[in-house]
Amino acid sequence: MRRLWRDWLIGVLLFLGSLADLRAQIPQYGMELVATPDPARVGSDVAFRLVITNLTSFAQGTFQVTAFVEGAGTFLSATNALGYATNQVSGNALTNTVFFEIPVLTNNQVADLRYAFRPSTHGSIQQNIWIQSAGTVFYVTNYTTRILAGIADLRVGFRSVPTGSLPGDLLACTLTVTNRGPDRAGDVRLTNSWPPGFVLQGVDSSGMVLDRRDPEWVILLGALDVGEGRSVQVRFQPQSSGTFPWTARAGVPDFGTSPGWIPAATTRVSVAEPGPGSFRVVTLAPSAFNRQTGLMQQRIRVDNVGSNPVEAVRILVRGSPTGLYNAQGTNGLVPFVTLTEPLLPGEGRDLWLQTFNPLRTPGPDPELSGVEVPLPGGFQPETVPVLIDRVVRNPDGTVGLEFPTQPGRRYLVRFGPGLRAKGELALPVQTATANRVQWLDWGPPLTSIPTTDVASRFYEVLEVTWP
Amino acid sequence: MRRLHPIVRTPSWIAPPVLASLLASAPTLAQSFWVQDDWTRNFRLGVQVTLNVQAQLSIDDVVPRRSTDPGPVGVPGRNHQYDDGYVRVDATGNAGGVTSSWGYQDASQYDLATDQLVYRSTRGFAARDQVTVDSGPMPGVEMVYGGRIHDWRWVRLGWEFGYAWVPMELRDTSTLPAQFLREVQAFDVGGISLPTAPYQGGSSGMGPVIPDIAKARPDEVLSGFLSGSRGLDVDLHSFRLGPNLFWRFGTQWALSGSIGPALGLLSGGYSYNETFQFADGTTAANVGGQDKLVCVFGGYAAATVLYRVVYNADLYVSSQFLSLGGAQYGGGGRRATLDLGQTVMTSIGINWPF
Repeated sequence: MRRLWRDWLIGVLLFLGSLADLRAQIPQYGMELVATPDPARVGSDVAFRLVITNLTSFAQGTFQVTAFVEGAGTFLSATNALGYATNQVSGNALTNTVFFEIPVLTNNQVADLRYAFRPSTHGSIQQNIWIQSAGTVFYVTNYTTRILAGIADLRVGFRSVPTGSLPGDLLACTLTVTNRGPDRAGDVRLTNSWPPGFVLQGVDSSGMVLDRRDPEWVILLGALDVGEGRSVQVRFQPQSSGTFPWTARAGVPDFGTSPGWIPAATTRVSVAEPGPGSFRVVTLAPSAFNRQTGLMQQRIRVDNVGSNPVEAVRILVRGSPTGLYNAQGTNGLVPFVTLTEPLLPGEGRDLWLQTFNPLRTPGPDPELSGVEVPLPGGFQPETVPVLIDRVVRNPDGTVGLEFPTQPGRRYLVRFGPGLRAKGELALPVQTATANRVQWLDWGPPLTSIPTTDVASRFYEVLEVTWP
Repeated sequence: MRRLHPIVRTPSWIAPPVLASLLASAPTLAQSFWVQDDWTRNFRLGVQVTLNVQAQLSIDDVVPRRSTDPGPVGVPGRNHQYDDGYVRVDATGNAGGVTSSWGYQDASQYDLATDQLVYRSTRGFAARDQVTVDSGPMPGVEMVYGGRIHDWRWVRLGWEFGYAWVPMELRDTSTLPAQFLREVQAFDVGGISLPTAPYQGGSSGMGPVIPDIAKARPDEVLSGFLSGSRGLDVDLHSFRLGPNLFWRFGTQWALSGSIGPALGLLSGGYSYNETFQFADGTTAANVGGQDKLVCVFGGYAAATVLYRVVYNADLYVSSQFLSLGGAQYGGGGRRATLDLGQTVMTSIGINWPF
């Protein structure tokens, strides 16, 4: 009896509707299409939920919904709780037509229509939704769902951000991108937002720069497997002082990330102006050939003739025809060493300069000058430890280390006052030219304080694997 | 179009297999020598084992050594190579009379009294040895191409040209007592702290440097042993050409014989990979050799049994006697004679008539 009444009521409503020649307009239907996940991934299922609410105040008979789905993929399923659903695939398999029919959609009734696909190519799925009732097209709309080639959460990290540098210094910084998955990233690109006034000098490994449009430039890093990381060294030159933000963002074309993942990192590069300190830098003796090192060696002295203490002094070495072997950096074209020991007014320190002269004869004395700088630092290379198999304390107080090496590989010594102390790096990095290296601690600028002035010193030899 | 002519008479002892094959299928008839086929050529390919190759290896008198050059004494800017190190010209051209390109093997080479590094180079040795080495079976490859001159149904007269490749290694691995002559040179260290031995300096010019002028020291004669191996590493390429007599003696069996001249080309030569074991406990490697191409002549006689497996393929087993004479190698106190006068080769493989 109840069913009879319901059918009668529906018939009456349909009759009244046809009499009124009602043509439903867009506001008279509530429609929502939700894709899960959105964006979707190639090879993974994407479920669509199409919710249509009848707001026409009338029951709609033979209510038909057609979803015209454009995009390569495999149709998986379609459900319609109020009626039935079918699917038809086009001849080229690029289009699916999903058809739903509901005998009657009463006023305010909700049609919950669901269907699912598995996309086979990245790009997008375009959908045109048609609503028909009693042979009349009521509603047409268009939806787009983005299909990603994959998802890769790329972590970006800065390493060896230089500190204590001056405008004009040639600096280097390492950027590391790690793929945290879940997919293999095929074409990782690192986009850098570059502080104004920074000049890009180069990228190691060479040839990785894709585009150098300031302020952004892109480095092609290639493919990264899940869990794999890749480092790139960026060499640059600041033109002015200040604190500069540098943002690097990793991405892969047509790839996405997990919700909330930020594949970018920002660091700040501080560049200072030279301090007001005043120094006298003189040579103490002509350069002489050292048979133990194969280098020309010259002793110099720097004195703080200013009125203030300084925490570090940079000695610029100009006019050396053969360059500076133990240079710790270059400002423009001028190599320099740095005394990292504080100097009070009137205090001075002796330092060694080393040059490689193929003639093994003394050259003209270089032109020396000193500037006050902040304590340099930031260099954090990737290393592996090397066993020191010989330590000699020489009669002159210097300490010699000897360790096995492989010619062409680079080595570094870390030193500190105690076994557990973190220690400082004795720069520069040395490239081995034989199967063993004799490393001599002869004090500044290699190490901050001469060995004769310290009670004990601990050393650690490291092979530099990056950069 | 190839034609097959069945022979009417069939010996009783082979009748069952022939009948069986006839009953099985018509093409089976082709799997038989019991026909006069019209194949005019054949090609054989097989693996070969060579036996009865000998070599007489001898060391007599003083054997000079040329593999290392100690270089001259008293002359700057020269390369010096020793058993236990080197002193070479570095990238600076030994500017300042010193070089970074030097190395030494053992701490005992440093003479504290004179502050010199002492290097030794073995210039030769005296030993006496004579041994005959038998090769044992040596694998190789054989290829034979042949043709038909005339066919009398049971017997066919033809010709064949054969090529065989046999790599041969005949080595003496005995350890011999020997007397060694070593040239000794020394270099001033110049007061540097020597890197721990073994040290191999590079040619960059950087690193510890030593003066580059060799100073002569008296030569050393000391006893010891010569170990390692010495002998012949040669490849024999043999070529032969001769008439061939082919006899069908069964349904699927045939016997072939051939005789004629042969030519052998021997590539490779005498080589040694030895270690000088000196009485003072040190050692030095001695590796070298001398290759040459030798041509030898002789003759051969071969017999081959063939079994027809399918319509146009036979399995064969062949035995060949090859006499190519001998070849001489060596020099400078070393001598080797390769004897190929009574070589026996046995091969097995597949023959394709076509």
